[in-house]
Amino acid sequence: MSGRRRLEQRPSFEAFNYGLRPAKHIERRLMVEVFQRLNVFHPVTRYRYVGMGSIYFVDFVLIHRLLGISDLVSIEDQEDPEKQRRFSFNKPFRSVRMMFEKSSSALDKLDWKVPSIAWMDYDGMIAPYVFTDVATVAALAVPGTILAVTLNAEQDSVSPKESAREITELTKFAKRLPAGKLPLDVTVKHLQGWGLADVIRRMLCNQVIDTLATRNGTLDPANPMVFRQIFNFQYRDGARMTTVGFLFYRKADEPKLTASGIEHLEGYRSGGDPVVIEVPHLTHKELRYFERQLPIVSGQHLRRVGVSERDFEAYRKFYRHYPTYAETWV
Amino acid sequence: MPLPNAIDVTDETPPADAFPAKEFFINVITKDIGLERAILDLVDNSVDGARQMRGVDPTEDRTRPSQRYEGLRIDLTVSKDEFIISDNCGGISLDIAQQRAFKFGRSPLSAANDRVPHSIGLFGIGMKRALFKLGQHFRVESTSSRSHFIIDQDVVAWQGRDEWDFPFDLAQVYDGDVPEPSRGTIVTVTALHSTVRADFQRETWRIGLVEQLRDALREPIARGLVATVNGIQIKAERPILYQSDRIRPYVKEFSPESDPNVSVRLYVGVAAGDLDRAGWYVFCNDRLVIAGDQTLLTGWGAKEPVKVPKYHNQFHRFFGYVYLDSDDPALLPWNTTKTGIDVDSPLWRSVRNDMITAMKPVIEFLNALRKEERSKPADVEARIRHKPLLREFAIAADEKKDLIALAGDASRFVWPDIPSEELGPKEMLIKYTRPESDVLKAMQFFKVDSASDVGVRTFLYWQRAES
Repeated sequence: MSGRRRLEQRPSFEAFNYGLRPAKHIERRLMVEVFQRLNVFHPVTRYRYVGMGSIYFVDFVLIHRLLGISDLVSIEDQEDPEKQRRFSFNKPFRSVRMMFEKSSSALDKLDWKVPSIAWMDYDGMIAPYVFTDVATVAALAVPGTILAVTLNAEQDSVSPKESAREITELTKFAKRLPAGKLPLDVTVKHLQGWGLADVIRRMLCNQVIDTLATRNGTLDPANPMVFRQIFNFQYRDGARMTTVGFLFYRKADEPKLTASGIEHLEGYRSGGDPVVIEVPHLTHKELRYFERQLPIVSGQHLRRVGVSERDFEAYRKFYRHYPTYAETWV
Repeated sequence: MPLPNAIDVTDETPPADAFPAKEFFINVITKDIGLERAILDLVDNSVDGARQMRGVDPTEDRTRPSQRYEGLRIDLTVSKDEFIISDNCGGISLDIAQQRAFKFGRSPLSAANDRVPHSIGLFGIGMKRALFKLGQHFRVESTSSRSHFIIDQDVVAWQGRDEWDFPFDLAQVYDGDVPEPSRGTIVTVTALHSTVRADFQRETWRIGLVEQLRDALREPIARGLVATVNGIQIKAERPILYQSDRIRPYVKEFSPESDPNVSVRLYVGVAAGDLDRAGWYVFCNDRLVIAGDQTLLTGWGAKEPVKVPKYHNQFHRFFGYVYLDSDDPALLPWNTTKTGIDVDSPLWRSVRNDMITAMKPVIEFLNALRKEERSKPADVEARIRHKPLLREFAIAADEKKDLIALAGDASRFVWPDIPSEELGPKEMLIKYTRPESDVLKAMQFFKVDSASDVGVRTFLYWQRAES
C-alpha cells in the first residue's frame, strides 16, 4: 500500500471512517453484485480473479467469500525480496498467487483461455501501459471475461510559469497518453470536474473497439467478439477516482447477457451516465435513525432531522452496501 | 495424321479483346493506396485550387507567412453513411471536368501550360482512385468562375455499361464571373464499402486521419486556410527551431544550377525533444511528404560526405526542415503517390548531401548536451553551475522561441563553445555499498537522510581531517 493514504484521525462523532475508504467499499460491493451474475457464461466458482490486492487484499477476501473463487492472482510491482515477503505473509488464503512484476508483463504471462474477472486497480494516473494492458486482455479474453480499470481522475495543475509557456491542463494530460488516443473534440473545459473521468472512459472504450476490430479479422463475421461497457463509477474518498468496466462476449451470447439481468443492477452502467458514489458525513445516531426508515415505501414521510436532502439521498442510494464498523474495548 | 481442311476466317475475325475490364481497373488502382492517403489526394486537389485562385510566393518569408488563404476552407464529413469533402477553393471548370478531371491518367496532349503552377495534383489519378476506394456512389458538384456542373454516378451501373465516360447530370455556363466565395467543389460518396464504414466509425481512426491532415496541411493552415473534420477545426502549429545569442539554426536557401526552376530551403536546428517526431521533414510545394524521418533516407547513418551516426534517442531534439518548391511539380523528387521521395532523383541526392553536412554540428551539440545531462556532480549547486549547455538550451527555448527564422547562420549550426573553466573541475564518480545498519548510523551522525549524502559527507570528513 503506498503512503498515499494516511489513516485520518477520526472525529468520534463521525459514523464513517474515511480513512478506510467507504466509497470504494460500496463500489466493490456493487461490482461483486454484477460478478455474481456471470453464471450465465460459466460457473462463477470456476472463474479466475486477477487483481492488485496490495497488502490488505480486501477485494480478494470479498471475492473468495462471496463468489467462491479460488483461482486468485495478485499483481504487485515490487522487486525487493524483503518487501515481497510482506505481501506473501499477508495473503488471506492459501490459493492466492502473487506475481511480482509490472502489470503489463504479468497480464502477458497469464493464460486468458480461463474465464476471468480482472480488476486493474491502478490507483494512479492514466499512462501508456494502461492502454497496453486493456489491449492485452481484449485481444485474448474468452467470452464471459470482465475487465475493470480504476484510475485517478484528477486534473493536472498548471503553474503560472507553465501557463506563460502556453502549457495547459490539456497539453499536460495529452503528454500522459500514447499518440493518437485523445479524442478530437476534447478541450480544456472537458477535463474539469468529472470531465476527465469521462474522457478516460471514452479512450478505454476506443482501445477495446480497436483491439476487437483487429481480433475479429479472423473470427466468423456473423459472430464477432463484442463488448459491453458495464461499469462507470465515479467516487472520491480523497482524489477523484473512476472505474470503467467491460464484459467480453460473442455476439451470439447476447441473450445470455440479457438473461443474466446485470442491466438492472445498481452498479451497471453502459454509457456516459456514471454511478456516482458519495458518502455523506453523518453521526452514528443519524445513521441508526435513517436505517430504520429504509427501504422507502411510496408516500412515506422521511424524517431527515436537519440532514440535507442531498446527503440523505446519497445515503439512501447505497445504504445496503455501507460498511459497518465496530468499536471494541481493549 | 493428316489435318482436317482449314478455312481462312482471318478477315471475319475481330481483333483479340484486350480492352480493360472495369472491375480489374478499379481493383488495381484502389489497392495500392490506403484510405487516409486517398482522402489526402482529394484534399490536395482542394489545396491546388486554393493555390490557383490566390497564387503562391515561394520567396515568402516563412517566419511570417502571409494570410493569402484567408477565407478559404476545406470541410470534411466522415460518417458511417457518407463521405463529403466540400471546399470554396475555386472549383473545377466545365472544360477541365469534361476533358481531363475524370480521365484515367493524364493525356500527353494536356501540356505543361495547362498545369497549375506549384501544384500537387500531378498524375491524373487521385480523384478517381479516391472515389472508387470510398464507395459505390459518388456525386461531384463544382462551381468555377464561369461554369457549374453535377456528375452523379452509381459505380455499379457504370461498370455495367461499355463506355468509360461519366455523363453530366447538369452543366451550366455563366455569362459573367461567379464571385470567388461561391466557387468551390463538393464531392459526396455514399454506399460506402464496409471496411470504409467500419474505419469511419472508429474514433481512433478519425484521430489518425486528422493527424495526417494536420501534417499535410500545416503550411496552408499557417496561411489562413481553415480545415475541419466533422465540424472540428484542425489546428496546426508552425514548425519552430530554438534560437538565442549562442544557439543559432542553420539556414540555407538556393536554386540548384541544374534546376533553376526549383527552389530549395533548408532549416536545421534543435527544439523541444520528442522521441516520435524528431528528425527530418521534407515538403514539396508545401505538401509534407516525409515527416520526422530518422532513417538513412534523410542522412542518418550516412558515411559521406561526412559521417553521421544512426538516429538514437539522444537526438530527439533534432529537427530539420527541407522545402522544395517549383512551378512544375514534375521537377520535384517525389514518388507517384506523394508518400515518399524518389531516391534516384539527382536533385534529391544533392539536397541530401547538403542535409548531411548541415546535420553534423547539431549532432555534435546534442552529444555534448547528453554528456552534460548524464554527468552527476555530487553537490546540488555544482549541478546547476556545471550544466552550461542545458542552460543555454533552456534560454533558447524560453527567450527566443521563434519560428523558422531567417536569422540563422548560413554556413553552419552554431552552438556555444563553452571554455573548459566554465565546465568546472574534472570529476570522478565514487560508488560502493556498505551494510545498511552502518549506513543508517552514518545518516544519523551526519544528520542527512540519503545514502548519497552520506557518501559526500564521509569524503569531506576525510578531506578536512587530513588537510
